[in-house]
Amino acid sequence: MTTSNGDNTPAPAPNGGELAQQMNEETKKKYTKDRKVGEGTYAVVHLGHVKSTALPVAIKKIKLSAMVDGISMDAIREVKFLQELRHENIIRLIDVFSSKNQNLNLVLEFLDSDLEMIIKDTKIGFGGADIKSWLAMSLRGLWWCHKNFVLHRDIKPNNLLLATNGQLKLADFGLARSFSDPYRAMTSTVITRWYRPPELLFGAKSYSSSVDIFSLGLVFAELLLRVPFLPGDSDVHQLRLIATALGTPTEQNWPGVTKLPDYVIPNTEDIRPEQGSLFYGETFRTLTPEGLTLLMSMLRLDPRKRWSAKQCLESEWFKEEPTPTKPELLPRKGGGKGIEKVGGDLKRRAGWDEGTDVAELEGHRGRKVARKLDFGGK
Amino acid sequence: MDDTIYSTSTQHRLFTFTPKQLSDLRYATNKAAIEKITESIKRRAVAAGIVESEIEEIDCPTAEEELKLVAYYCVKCMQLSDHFQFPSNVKATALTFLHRLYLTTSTLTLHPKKLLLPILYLATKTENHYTPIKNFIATAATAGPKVTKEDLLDPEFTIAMGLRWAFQVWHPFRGLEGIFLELNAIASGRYQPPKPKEHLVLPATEAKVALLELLAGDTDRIGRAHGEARRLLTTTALLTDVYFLYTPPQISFGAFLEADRELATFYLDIKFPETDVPGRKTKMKLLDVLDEIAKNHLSAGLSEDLKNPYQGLLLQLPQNGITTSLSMSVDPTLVKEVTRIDKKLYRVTKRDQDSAGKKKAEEWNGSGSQSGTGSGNGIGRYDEDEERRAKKRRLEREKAEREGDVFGARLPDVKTAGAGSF
Repeated sequence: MTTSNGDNTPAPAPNGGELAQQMNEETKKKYTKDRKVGEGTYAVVHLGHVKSTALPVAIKKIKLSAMVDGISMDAIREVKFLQELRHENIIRLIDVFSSKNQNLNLVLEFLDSDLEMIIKDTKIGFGGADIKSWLAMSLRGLWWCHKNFVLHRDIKPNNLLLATNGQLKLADFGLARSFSDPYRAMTSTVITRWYRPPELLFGAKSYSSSVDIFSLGLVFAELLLRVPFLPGDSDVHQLRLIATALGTPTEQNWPGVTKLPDYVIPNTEDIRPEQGSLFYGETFRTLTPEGLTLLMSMLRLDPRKRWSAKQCLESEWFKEEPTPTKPELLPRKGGGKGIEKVGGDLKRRAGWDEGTDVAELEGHRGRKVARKLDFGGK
Repeated sequence: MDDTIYSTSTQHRLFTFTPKQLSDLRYATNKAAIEKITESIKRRAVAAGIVESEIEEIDCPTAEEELKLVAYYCVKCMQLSDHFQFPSNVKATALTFLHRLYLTTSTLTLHPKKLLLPILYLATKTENHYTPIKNFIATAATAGPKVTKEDLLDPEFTIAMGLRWAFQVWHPFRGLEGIFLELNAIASGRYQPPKPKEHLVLPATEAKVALLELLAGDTDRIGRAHGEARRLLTTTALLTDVYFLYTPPQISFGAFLEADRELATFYLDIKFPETDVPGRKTKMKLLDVLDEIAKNHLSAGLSEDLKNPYQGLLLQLPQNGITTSLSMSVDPTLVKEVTRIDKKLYRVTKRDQDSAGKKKAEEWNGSGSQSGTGSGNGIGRYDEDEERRAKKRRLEREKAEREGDVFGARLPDVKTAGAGSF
């Protein structure tokens, strides 16, 4: 297996199944597993290194129990998309190999912290220039996904991992999918609730890259506030929070919204227009007008009005002072705790959350996601 | 498709070749497998006390024969997919997986027959076309071959490794839809030329007039061309090497050119008008490539007797005795040939399974049916299975030859070629 081999030469003269086995053995031998840094029901994550260069890597082993019908859809999606998406701001899949009993191992780039840790750690101070840098890197990664016809569908702070050199990397492609053809339905049960856009909460079966932009808009807001901006405790509550903060989705601000399968007016007693710069300015006091415009454009209710990743990257905010902090100068967390935390991020089954939501997710949404997500066409 | 993006894709990095590279790879795979199995049979025979000079000649399928066999099973895979009524992208991905796998895998090592359903099942997963495994098995049963969950899942890792864990396949279907939509836009005067070349291009109204003149009242022509191109893309294109040799948009357009040359040329003239001098050059180059695809690979006029533009190279061409259209797949001489190769393959792999190579091979040659005793090293079950299947295969074959149908019993509800919905 030579995924790391970027050239275009034909495979060496091979020999059938044996060749595949042999290549697999060779790949496997390239790495040493050092210690376990995370274990969940879906995967075990080890810290390891490349034997020849001592370069650290993360080795994610998908558990056999997670493979009832062969290689799971999550693993297939993750491998499929990471094999195609080569970008500085997307986690690099270095190799794939199988270990005894057909365990699937993904060798991933080693990353030692995530954006959630940085946001939550009250001892770490960061400012506008730092946020600008993280957001720009996230947008670049997302731009590359969308340019490659891939929807990430699970953007949230703990899927935005940070390398030791400060580079931010989109991770966890277990919920990703290619853009659908216009008339083929997709599931609306994706994206962790706090970051889920209104069209998905209304049960839309066709949607676009703008779902990822909305999620990232909420991460942007969270970086500014240092707490989750819209932490709903149920889907209904989530919609209420969106309607109250950003405005009530109606035919006026979002033509066609009332036709969505699960459309309801979340706050009948308190219908609000879509919020403008006044509201944003009051809520996010540190942000300049250009920054507010960008945030607003990422959080538009009507997905068609949201900016694309490219439009976001062209925002004046990135050009005005202060310029984005150089990645290597960004506040860092890392070290022992970071490794465990990232180990935890990687071991999760895509779309599952940690903390308070876990029981509900495992019992309910998790299974629902696993079951419903696979809807291709019917 | 953006070329810079395509060049980073696994399809381009790992599975795009020149005709010569592709051919070399096939020969190399065949050679390596023959060396290995020959060595293995000899070693076993010597271990069983047979003098090396006494070992009967080991007759392995050639690279040409292997390719014919794989091509035959590709048609079979296509029919299976249609039986499941899978969308075109699932079918096309499964076929592409088969082609890719047998670039570096010999049929001496892995018989394609056992892989058709596992590959189809894997393709439903990689194409996000969720099919519960129970339903899959149930539908498979209505097509004839009885299959267990283990049959489907056991080879999955071997297949994935053979594919080098690259699951993304870029198909030419979307490109074709683009051509279709744009021609319709021109016909209704809604064509918007791409920036920044808009100043060079005919205004929408003039383009419309020119197209309507060409159509001369035959308003359905665009739809027919699109349908025919789609048929080519969902049948012939999947039985040729075009995915290995060309990019998806080239294949889309190559099929459209084959479907309706006049309409395709008109479309190119709109894209590269006389006034666009450097564009004209690009157009000529492009036409050369598209012509190659249409004439050398997709054309219905191709046959074994036609001059082979890739003389000496092992490509999937009718000139090399390869089935590239569904109608050819029932050609009785071809069926006979594939049957002969399959027999040869069976004989040599069977010999390799037996510990006393010579003796068993003689038995096979003599009676055509064995006692079914395992070799005692854990492959007995395989032998029995293989024999049972071989017998079934023989019966199926005889029946097929009688009826001139390579697939034996007709699959119920098989859709006519090209009826896939994408």
